[in-house]
Amino acid sequence: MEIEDENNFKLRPMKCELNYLSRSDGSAILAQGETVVLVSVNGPLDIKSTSQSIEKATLEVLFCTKGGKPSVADRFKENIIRQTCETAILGCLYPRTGISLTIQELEDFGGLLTCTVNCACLALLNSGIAMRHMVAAVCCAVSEEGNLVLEPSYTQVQSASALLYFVFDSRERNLVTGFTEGSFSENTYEEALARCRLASDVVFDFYRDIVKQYSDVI
Amino acid sequence: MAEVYKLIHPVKYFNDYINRNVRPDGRKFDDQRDIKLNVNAIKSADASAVVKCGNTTVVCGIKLELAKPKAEEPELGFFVTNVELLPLCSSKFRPGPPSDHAQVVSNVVSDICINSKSVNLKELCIVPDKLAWVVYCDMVCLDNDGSIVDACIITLMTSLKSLTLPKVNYDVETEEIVVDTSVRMPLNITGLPIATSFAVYQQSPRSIVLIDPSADEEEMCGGVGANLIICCNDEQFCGIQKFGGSNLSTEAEKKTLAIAKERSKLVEKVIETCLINEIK
Amino acid sequence: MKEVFLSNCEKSFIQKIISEGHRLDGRNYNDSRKLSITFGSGYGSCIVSLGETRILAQVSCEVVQPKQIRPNEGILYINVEISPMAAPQFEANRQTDLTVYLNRLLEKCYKDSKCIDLESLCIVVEEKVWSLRVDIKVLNHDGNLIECASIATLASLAHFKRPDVTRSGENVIIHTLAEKDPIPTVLYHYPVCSTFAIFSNNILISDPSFIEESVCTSNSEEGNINGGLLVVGMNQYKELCLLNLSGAAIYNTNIAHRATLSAADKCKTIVDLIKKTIIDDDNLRQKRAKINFGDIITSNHLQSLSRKDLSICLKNFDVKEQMLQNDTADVMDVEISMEPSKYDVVQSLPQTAELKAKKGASSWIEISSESEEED
Repeated sequence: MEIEDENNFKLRPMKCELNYLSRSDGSAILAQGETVVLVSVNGPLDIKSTSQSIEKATLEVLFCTKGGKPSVADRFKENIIRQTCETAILGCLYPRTGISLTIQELEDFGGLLTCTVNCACLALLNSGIAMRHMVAAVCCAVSEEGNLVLEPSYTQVQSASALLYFVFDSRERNLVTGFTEGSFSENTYEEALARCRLASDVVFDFYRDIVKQYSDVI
Repeated sequence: MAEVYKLIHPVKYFNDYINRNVRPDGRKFDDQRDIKLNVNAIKSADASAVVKCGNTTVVCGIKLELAKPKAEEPELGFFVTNVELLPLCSSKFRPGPPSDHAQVVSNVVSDICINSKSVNLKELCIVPDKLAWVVYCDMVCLDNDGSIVDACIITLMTSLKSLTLPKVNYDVETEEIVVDTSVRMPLNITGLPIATSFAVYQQSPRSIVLIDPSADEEEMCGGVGANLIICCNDEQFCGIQKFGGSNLSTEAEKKTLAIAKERSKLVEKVIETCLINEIK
Repeated sequence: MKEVFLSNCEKSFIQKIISEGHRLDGRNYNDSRKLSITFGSGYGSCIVSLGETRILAQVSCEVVQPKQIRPNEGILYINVEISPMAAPQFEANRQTDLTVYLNRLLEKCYKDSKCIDLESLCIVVEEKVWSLRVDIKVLNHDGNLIECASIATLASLAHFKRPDVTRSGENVIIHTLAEKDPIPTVLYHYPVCSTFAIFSNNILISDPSFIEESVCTSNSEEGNINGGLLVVGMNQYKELCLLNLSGAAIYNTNIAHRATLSAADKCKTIVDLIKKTIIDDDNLRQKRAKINFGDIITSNHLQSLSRKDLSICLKNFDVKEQMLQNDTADVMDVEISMEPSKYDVVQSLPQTAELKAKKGASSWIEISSESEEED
């Protein structure tokens, strides 16, 4: 979506359903534009003693693509999600247990990782696991002319010279996770970061709207 | 005594140092470790380099092979990077298939190569749809003491810069391949990406950014590997990855960008000096 | 996580109500749960839900070299994955007996029944053929995976279209979807599996839920098994393609006969539904409507959290009618109020009944923990 004003952001339309799966402790399906992701959370549960930690819950993340064989890029995505969620979860409340997060990609029309991070956060909220803060991911594309596009569409992603992904926490809007594709200048980076930080408010408001439908507190 | 203290109270041991604004190995927060770089030590490889950043040691060897290009991309050659973290380099790794961490490091390194567009895959193609070079870059870690991505990128770029491709004659009619090793052409490398790792330590109320962290420091900061990797390439950035660790404020983030730029200039000089030394 | 075992009371309760003609969710013996098929944006991807059981199927294709013994035939490959998403007891990236069992049954049903024209997948004999790969991912395991998976496989295969190719001399040009219209897969016939749970060796229950499946294959209190799962694969011409029994041996020949008769009608309706959904989907695509998995997002499940109790209904409702109205909300408005004493089935409204169960003791209601949270 185009940016209308400096402080007025329109992200791609978001649609979410919690508790989509009956056998998981928490689950969420989220559509951001045409990208759709399904996440299920199970835990805290019993895990094998070799992967137990006496300090905090062990977070296990599994990323399943729609079809085809698992690849190194999937491990990288799993790593991003795991490290992001690990900072968000109050894992020290559940020592010697495991929390498993399973992600199923349903549609990928750009911005799959931001959709995954947001969906994972909603699924964690739904499962009732204690969290330090929520996380919101926003993606920004740098077009060939050097313009910034928040939450780019599929064609914009294909033609972009760089893609920047940021994840912010809900308390201070500090950077939790960030990763980039392509090359860009320092100014572009600073500006993209500032814009995405402002836009993350929209995502947090969306979380609040969703959770409000079944609970008074967030 | 200090060893025992570190073993029993690792967090307090670390905090005691940080409170005195010094790191356990005697460095300031924004001091980096010494770098030693050597090029073409391995004669069996087509190009190679060894780097030592503090204790972190990485060897990179490049092997050339000929292959038929993919049917979908007949004009492109192949450029394959791989990072191996063997049990040799740290007690954390077990023999067997590559661990998740090794796969992540591999992916970060190959992403930096792709994003910086240093290697033009079209140049690796000899005859479209018939013959192309496959450049295998294998990085093996001998000692993992943190900031592994930095070391990998330094060895990789140094070996690439010293790599020469032999001349290949391909007869379209007979499909015969003649490799003339006496005539060698250097591979064009545009730009020089340099990665800088940081660890972000939360000591409330302040958060501290440690440059070029050692393995112990990385572990104290809660991440698997470094928390923040910034890759500079000629005044541009070609990869800023932040995973886990404490959250980063705006000021801290600006500071890291400046430091990364400064360090990349230094490292660039190291690589250049090393290569000039080699040619002599 | 270890699998949670069935308790004896759950087992005997299920066996008791089934012998009395009831089922936990109010269906008749022959009723299936609500079936819905949703297609994704690409060709050959669909989500099939059978009640709460949900399966994602995706067909992909690539050009490979054919097998030497079959140089002019394409390759069909079926891969089933059950991740921890399906149920917590499954481990990531590990093959279980269930995965192997599902994979084998699907291969029997679709590969060995020769329903796909593999020769049409050949491009250049002995050199290039299409290899179709069907990835089956179990999203939610609430029983009767095989029926759901077979519907998903069939629907995705029938929906799938592969890119067109042109041969010019030795080269083969693969056209993108924009250049040339893709080609659908040729299916000679449409086989579909249906599952029957056998209780006390004479009651046949179609489309068993997770708990019914576990009860019928487990030992009874006396230690002897007299139940099992019977999988019948049939095509739309009522031809038998697959028969598989797990559990106890049947000593009543009548049962297999009854099952095949009942499966014949059921498979016909399912195949008709699949064909109809594909035609509808095709029409929508021709009108350039955007079809996306995002369409399955509703607010049904969200609201189920805010309600005080979840309902379990215990009497017949018309499944066929429900199957027609796919998009309408299917939440039953029957509330269950928790009361002490035995589990009682009380008739209330016509066509409905309430199951009253003691609170806390009702571990057989899967959603009991959530309903407590809401209090």
